[in-house]
Amino acid sequence: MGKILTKLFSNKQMRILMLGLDAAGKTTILYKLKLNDSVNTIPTVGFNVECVSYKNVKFNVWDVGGQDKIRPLWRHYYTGTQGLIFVVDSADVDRIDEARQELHKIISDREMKDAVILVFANKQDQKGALKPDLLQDRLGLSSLRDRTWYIQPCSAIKGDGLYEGLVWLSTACK
Amino acid sequence: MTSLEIKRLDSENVTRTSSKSSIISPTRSNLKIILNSSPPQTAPKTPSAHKNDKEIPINIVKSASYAREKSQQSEQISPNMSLENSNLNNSDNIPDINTDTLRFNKYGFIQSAKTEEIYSDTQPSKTDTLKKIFKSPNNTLNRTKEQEPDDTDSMHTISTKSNITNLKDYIQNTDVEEFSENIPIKVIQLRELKWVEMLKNFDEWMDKRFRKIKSRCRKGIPQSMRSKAWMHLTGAILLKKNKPNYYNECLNNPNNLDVAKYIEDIKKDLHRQFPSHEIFMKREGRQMLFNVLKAYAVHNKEVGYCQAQGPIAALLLMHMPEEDAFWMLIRISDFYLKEYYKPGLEKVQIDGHSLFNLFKKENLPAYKLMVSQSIDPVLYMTEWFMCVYARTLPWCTVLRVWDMFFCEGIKVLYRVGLYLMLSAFSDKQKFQRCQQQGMYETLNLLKNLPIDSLTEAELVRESSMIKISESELRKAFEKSRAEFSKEKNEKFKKTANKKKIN
Repeated sequence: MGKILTKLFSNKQMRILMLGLDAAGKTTILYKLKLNDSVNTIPTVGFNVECVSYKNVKFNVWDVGGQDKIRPLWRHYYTGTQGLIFVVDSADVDRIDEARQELHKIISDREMKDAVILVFANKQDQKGALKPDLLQDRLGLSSLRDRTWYIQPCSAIKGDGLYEGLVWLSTACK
Repeated sequence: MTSLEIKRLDSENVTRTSSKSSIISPTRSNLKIILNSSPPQTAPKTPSAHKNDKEIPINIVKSASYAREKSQQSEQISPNMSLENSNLNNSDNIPDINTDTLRFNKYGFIQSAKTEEIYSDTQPSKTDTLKKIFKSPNNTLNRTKEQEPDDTDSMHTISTKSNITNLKDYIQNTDVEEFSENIPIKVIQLRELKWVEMLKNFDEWMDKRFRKIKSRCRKGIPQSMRSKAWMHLTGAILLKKNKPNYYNECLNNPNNLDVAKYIEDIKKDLHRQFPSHEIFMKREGRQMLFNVLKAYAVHNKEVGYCQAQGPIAALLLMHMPEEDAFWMLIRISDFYLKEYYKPGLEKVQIDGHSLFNLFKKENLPAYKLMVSQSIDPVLYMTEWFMCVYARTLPWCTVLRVWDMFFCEGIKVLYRVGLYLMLSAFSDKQKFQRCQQQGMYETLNLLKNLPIDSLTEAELVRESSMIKISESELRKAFEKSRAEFSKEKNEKFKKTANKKKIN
């Protein structure tokens, strides 16, 4: 019995889709999680996918290119997504509005209606970065109803806050 | 080029294309549209931007410490540096760095032994993950004097050496020798001579002996002739001659407002395009990249800048001066991959479906598997097609694909795509694992292609064996276009219904 239980729990897999505006730091986050190392990234045109294991949960994290030209392709990745990680460049104050629009467009899609939402308020190490409580208003998260969401401040380069985000995801997804 | 000549070209193109389909094979038919749109020139002017090209001084990173120092510097440069005002068209503006200045002749590598030595000296940046240095594929090391084509145009050839740190480009971390074809120098020299001959009368060759050109492109264009051959194959050279000042006009366009957004986008990506390549480690290199991309955005405001154009422009700049790279980018984006970079990316999605439809014939079980796992073609083919494999294949193989692509057109992308899919599923055990484990496994397989299938010889040989007739391609394309518009209509209806209910 114990064996079966461990087997059941150790095999928990989650399909995570990571989106956000271009140059928000999605690929950097992905490889920081995977390798615990910051790498030189190149603009993602297709996607990157890595399997990150953390505390008995296997996260299949899909990181998709974010330039506005490429965003029409996002919807192809929606199917089967259990958790959405939306990455925001907290220091790019001018584009917060654009980020809000994109976020709401994604979560209002039929295929994404059951996905839990984790917002990474990235680049907290930079000067002028918006704090998470301010950001959550600006992104219109506070007014979201019937959705499970969480905003996590982080710095992809330093690695601060990333695992906390994963912990939240693993508890929020059932 | 005189207006008379343009007309001659037009009439030739009409006759040439009437026998072949024009959407697929890039004979230079569509040139006429571009040529006609420009005011006829009374006399051909020699392009002035590259007057120094005959002998371009290229500063090569020599010592390891210098390279490290540079890479640290380059990281400190903020991407927001004021790029617009400075114009580095003229090689005079490139500051002299205290290293040996090598002089390259028109086709590069006159000091071959030294170059080789320097390459092996060059140390990449400080990161531990830095990988092996790339030697330029197929370059002829002992250049001889025999080639001095009369064309006023000149190119500088820079090796495609690179120190890629990106994880993504795992294959580019492996020594290029593993992938490159070993061709005896004598053969290369012979080929060079053939190309020199051919380029003297290229129009005639295109008209009368296109098959020969095709087979020579498939064999691979010698590295020393590559940039020039590409310019001729794409017809970029004609455009450039026809509008000698156009590049500078686009570059110095004072009205930047309508492309301001694109300029911001380009700046954000500058330090992320082949960041460990010797050219783009330097500020001057990034400036060149910026100039080309910006000038294109000004030229075609509807397209502007798409991230997939970055690697293409970068790869072009590794082979040719800015202005030539600009005209090549125009040919690629406006003709070869027309509508690929437009908002919505419809054309890419349709081409993805056609590729998948063609795959059905090649490997039915794998096709069925992918249908059952609902893997949309855009998941794996966008990067392949949009970057013309610049991000997928090892250097030497990419160049070979480009040689064929500029000659035969988009068909080459299909053939290579089909070949890559076939080789991904060639391992039975892996295929079974995909069946058991699902979509993630399958996509991983398509993303991490078996390395031994990516050597230039193997890929060129095998992909050329895949026969796609033009009618077949056209049929597949029409079918997927119909599917695509049907899907779009249904989606539109659904949202409309939803709105009604609300």
